[in-house]
Amino acid sequence: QGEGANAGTNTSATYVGSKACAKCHEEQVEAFTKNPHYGAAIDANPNGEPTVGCESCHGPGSLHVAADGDDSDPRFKTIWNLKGMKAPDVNKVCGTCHRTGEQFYWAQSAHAHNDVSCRDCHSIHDSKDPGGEKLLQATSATDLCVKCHHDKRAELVHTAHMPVREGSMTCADCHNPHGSPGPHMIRGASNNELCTTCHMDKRGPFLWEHPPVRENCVTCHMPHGSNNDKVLASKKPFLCQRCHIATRHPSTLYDGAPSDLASNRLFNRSCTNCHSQIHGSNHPSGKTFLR
Amino acid sequence: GSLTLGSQWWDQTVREAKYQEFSDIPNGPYIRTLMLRDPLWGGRYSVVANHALRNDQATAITYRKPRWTTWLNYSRIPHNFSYYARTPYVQVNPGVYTLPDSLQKLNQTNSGAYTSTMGDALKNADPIPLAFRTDVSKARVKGRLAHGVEIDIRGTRRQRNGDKAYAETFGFSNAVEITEPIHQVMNIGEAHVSYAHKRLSLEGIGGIETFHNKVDALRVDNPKIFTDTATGGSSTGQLDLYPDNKTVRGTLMAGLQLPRTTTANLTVGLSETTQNDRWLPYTVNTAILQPDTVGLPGTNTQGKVRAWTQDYRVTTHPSNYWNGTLRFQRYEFLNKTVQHTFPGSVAYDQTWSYGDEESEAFGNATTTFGADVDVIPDPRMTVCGTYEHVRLDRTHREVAKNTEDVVRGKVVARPVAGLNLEASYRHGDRKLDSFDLDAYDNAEQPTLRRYDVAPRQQNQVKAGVGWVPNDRADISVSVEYLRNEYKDGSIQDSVGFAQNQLGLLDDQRRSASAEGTFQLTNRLDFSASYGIGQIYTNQRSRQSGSSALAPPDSTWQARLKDWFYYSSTTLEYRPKGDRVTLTAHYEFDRAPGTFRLTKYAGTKGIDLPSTVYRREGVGVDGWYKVDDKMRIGARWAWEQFKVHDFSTTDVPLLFPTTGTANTILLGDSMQDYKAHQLALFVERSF
Repeated sequence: QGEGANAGTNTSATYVGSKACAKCHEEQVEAFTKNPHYGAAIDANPNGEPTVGCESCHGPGSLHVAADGDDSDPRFKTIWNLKGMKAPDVNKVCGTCHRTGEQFYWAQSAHAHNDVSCRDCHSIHDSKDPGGEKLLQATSATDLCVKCHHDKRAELVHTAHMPVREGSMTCADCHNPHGSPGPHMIRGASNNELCTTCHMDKRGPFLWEHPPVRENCVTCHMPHGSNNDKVLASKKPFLCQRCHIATRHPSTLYDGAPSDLASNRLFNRSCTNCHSQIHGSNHPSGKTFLR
Repeated sequence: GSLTLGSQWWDQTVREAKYQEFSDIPNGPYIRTLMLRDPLWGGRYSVVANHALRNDQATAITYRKPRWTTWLNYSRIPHNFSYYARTPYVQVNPGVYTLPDSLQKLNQTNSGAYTSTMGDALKNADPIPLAFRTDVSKARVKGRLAHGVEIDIRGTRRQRNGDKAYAETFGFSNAVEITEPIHQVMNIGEAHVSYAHKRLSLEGIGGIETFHNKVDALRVDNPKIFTDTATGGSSTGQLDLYPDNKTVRGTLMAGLQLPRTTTANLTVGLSETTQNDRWLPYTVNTAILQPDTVGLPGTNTQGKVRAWTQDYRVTTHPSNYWNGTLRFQRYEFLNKTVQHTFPGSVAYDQTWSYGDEESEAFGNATTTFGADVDVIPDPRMTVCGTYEHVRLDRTHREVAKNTEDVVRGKVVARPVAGLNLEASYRHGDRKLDSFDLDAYDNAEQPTLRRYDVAPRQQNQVKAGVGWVPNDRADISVSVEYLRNEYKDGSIQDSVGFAQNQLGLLDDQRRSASAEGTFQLTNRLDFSASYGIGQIYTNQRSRQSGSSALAPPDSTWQARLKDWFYYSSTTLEYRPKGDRVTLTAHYEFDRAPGTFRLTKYAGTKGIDLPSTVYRREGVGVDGWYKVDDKMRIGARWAWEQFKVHDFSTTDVPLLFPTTGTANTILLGDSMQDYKAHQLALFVERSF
């Protein structure tokens, strides 16, 4: 972030400071004073002020100011209007400062790859999120994401769901929309690393491991929502019976006869009525996840 | 800033917890939102508090200086499961549940009358809460120390307190459902240091995470036995609750901007997780003496996992006509946990069983090499291609190595302004290197192929249309079809029996969704979305007796379908004068499930009863702007929930309800409900 946000300008314009902008754009400048950018320091600011101002993003404004509002004057258009710029160009402006931290992997992210612009999700002057901390184009990150990821809108309201619908979580709690080295832009090197950030109790390592648990939580769970309790990929006992056909009860066909519906291996929590330690056990007698 | 106060009344026909599963719906006066910004300290701080003082509150405080920002966040997330759970057990200490001695004695001496005895006892079962709350506190300081150097320090404390349903069993016909007392603390501390100068970006992250479970064990009285015996069972049982663990991690990242709009990124990370909770004894059954003789092979698991992450990527945009990425990633989960050999075990605190049992430290590694190319022959079209080679290595599993080749193609067309068309196809071919039948330890059918390691053909098609005809409308439609087929050709070829491969055979996912937002007039907005989805799974199994090698004629097959329908509609009206805003919202979702069963020989398979979950709700909000500083509002909402699920509705306390009982349950049935809300609000800006 040492170069300042204004690097790369190709006009002969010079910097005039935000006060000059306020003469015509009073509303925007006033709103900007409530913006997290306002007051933020930027090294080597061309105005010599340790703050981000209008020209940090819109480029040097002397020629634009000199045009005095006359849009037929060629100098009027020397200011950068991000609304009319292509996604990579907009992203370049923002990326001048936002290169590390959350945005470290932006250039390699699926969003950058798909021509998503910073402006598609963020609004510097007209954000909708309460408090304007993230400067979002919608009231929450989730509302923003499902505008493009339609299928997730429906998945997130499944009967078994994470508290996303209620607003206690957002998509951005698990995914970094700016990119990450993990799969599906998750905030972890693997699915399990991500899930155990909050579900740390399941992290182990356990004395007796359940191998698919150790490898990938989404082997059994559908984190975006499911018809089945605990966001499981299928109803128990069928989920368990996909992998367990050992002797006696695990391979029983529960065929709906009254005696089968009365089986405690089918009813209520099914297999986990007994195998409650299904994520792993640390008990010396816990090999079959009963203890 | 602004303050929104509300007063709300709601009622529910049946007090079903689903209504407030992850929320705290207030009854009476409450603070809806509080936002403060300005006027103290030069406008450098802000406070945003939603649902203040409630169980689902979220409060964020920010303080900014030109080079430093500090954030403090506090939130609560409730998770309500049921208000109807009841149990005859009394929790005398955290995690210790007892029954009256007299009841255990009676059941032991007159076991034939167990069902009626427990039935009588359960009439006086006491309510037990089934809910927990997660309190999350976060603090973060971010600052710029010098030219290009940033520091970001974050701390998170997550506390969970409450109870959720759990089980402890004393044998095949004696299961007890009880609650797991949850008193857990999770701490995360992280420090990021980054440096950016000209074309170089560097970042280092160091962190520590700890998990502490304040309740180590769940000890529950056996309802059928009062006196410990070496072969007949134990008066009490004990299982181990989640052990404490600690993770230390570090990550280094480097990014370099090269000529021709090329970027190279490198990430290397290492974490180490340890778990050294003290073991519980083999059993708490005092009549079983073998544990005293043979002893435990240690005092704790000595659990240790090292996870290595490597990620290298180069992205280039050399011209407006194409761009590309080369990427390599490797994630290694190296399980260094000591493998212990136990001379025996006591499965249900019931009987000592001799036989060496060795724990296994399951590890895995995923290596991915990928190449992506986008070609833009015309500004109105982009053609994307991806090739990916994935290799999965595992230890102690029946399949030690899988490889998968994935190709993906995508076309995006923008034939006219405002119209966006997309279509993509993905094909994955996962193979297994060799199959180690010994890993089944003679306990599984040899032709079982577990779907997480089985050979898999994956095909996925997606298509979408987005159309913005003008400033007043935005319409989009998307469809998706995914099919996974798990076929091991070697089984079919060698045995030649069509029903021989067992496990999940194939699954399919279909979904379609449509959305539209319309500004019907300058004062009337309308938006709607609709989604439909189906997950189909087809699995095959065998019904075996005491032998692991059940005959093929016991084969059965289950074809399951989970459907999902969703729709929502919102109408917003702003009458002339711009003082009033009216919003009406309707939302509907319905999730049926069907279970079709087939048996290949003997009795015909009978389908299980279908299940269905359905929720719909209407909400109407109205706001009136009194002046520039004040608004008043009102909200009315109605919600209906219906459920029919053979496994979670009509849950008794003693199961089954006919014949001999073998399970004590909590009775936490899900129930249909209707609910109404009426609320009044005052919003004051200042």
